[in-house]
Amino acid sequence: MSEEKECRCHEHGHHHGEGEECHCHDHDHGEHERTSIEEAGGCAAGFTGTIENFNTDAEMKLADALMAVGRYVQGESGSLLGHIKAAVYTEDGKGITLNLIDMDNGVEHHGTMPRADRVKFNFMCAVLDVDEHELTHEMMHAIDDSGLDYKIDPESLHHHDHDGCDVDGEGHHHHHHDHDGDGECHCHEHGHHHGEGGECHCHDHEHHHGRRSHDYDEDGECQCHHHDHHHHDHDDGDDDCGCGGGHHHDEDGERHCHGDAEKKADSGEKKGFFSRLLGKGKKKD
Amino acid sequence: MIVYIIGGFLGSGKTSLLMRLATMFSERKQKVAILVNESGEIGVDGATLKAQGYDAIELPSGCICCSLSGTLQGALVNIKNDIDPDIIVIEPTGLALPHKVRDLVHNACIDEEKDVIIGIADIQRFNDLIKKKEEFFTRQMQGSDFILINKSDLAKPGEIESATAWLNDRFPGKEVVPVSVKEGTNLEKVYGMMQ
Repeated sequence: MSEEKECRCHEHGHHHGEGEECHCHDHDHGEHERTSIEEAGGCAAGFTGTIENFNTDAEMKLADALMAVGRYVQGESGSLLGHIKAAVYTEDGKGITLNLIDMDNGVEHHGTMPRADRVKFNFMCAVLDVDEHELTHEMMHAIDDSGLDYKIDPESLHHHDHDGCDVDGEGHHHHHHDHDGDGECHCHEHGHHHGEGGECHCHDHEHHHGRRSHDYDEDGECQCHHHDHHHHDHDDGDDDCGCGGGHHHDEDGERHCHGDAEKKADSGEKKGFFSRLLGKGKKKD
Repeated sequence: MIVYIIGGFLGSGKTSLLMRLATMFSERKQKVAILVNESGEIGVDGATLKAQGYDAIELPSGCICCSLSGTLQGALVNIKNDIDPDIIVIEPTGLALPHKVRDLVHNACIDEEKDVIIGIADIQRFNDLIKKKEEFFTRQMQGSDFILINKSDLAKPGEIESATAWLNDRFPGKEVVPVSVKEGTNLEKVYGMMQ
């Protein structure tokens, strides 16, 4: 993860209506004081949801999910420095906590609770030296692979977007944030003000800047729109233009790098996965 | 009113210590307010504390030493006005800098008698942390009034002595106490140091 924090203030390129002042450049760049989380190189991720038929067996499955995330963090950063936690509780707030701090010690179980038809859970990680977006992804995969009969609260994922995934099950791409290589969300940093009639175009940028699907230069900038190749006709409609995004050109030579068609083609498996996560096709034991 | 700030890295045992201390205060008929901060949007410590019967005020989605500094100060004023406790225990995130939290408590003007930073370090991951994040860990511990080396029950021979020597070298004059929050080892001593 990059230690440097880049200023993204001038990247939004929005337009102000006539007579509207732009205040985007008023700030002093020296004011970019790093938060302690940034100083530590840490990140936090998590979501909430419900689990049906929670019993000792389900508790073990949840513990396995924590271990799976722990293995991912250990693999990414070399060691698990941080914690991976889950709280499981009933409507009255009573419940248990699972806590993974040390891979050798395994998951600590705190408290006891009787079998319940339905429980709520909070699943969170705060760790060092991993990408926040990927961490969330791994957490979701871990819980999906655990065999639990669960459903994730879509609103708890509002800060997380997936490449081509139908995150909330309604085709709504929640939050198209921009990772500049340090895994931080910069959506809320521009802090500019729009006068009456001054439109903000900061969020017009549709695609997701995920490390897995986009092309970055050395400082983590998105290069999706920087390529200047010519979109000549490709006879087979299958040529890659070499811009790094793996996109396809159709028969008339048009690129569809940012079109829905590519997303749909790429995300067939993911859509099913995330639909399941959100309870659209819950797994049963 | 005394404010205690429990500062330490992720997984060092802050929440466990907080629960132990809260119980000790309650047993001595002291009114305690607990303020828990978590860096993520989704908190677990608040749910844990509630599940164990503790009433805690949660401040999620940021760090009270920086991005949620105003929220912290507002919460402290509300606690003072609404609860007026004998003790406020603040558990910042494991990525917070406790001395910054103390500065913010001072500036909240809640008329506290004193505020104490209890530093806590995990002996099992002490060397890993020093190896990877020495500067950050040093900054985390620098404002502590005393430092606890937690999980002494899990320490290998020589580890406590080695960590103590490192801490004494970095922070001369600060008392360093090995504890096991899980087993209750040395916690009465810690309670005495807090008074």
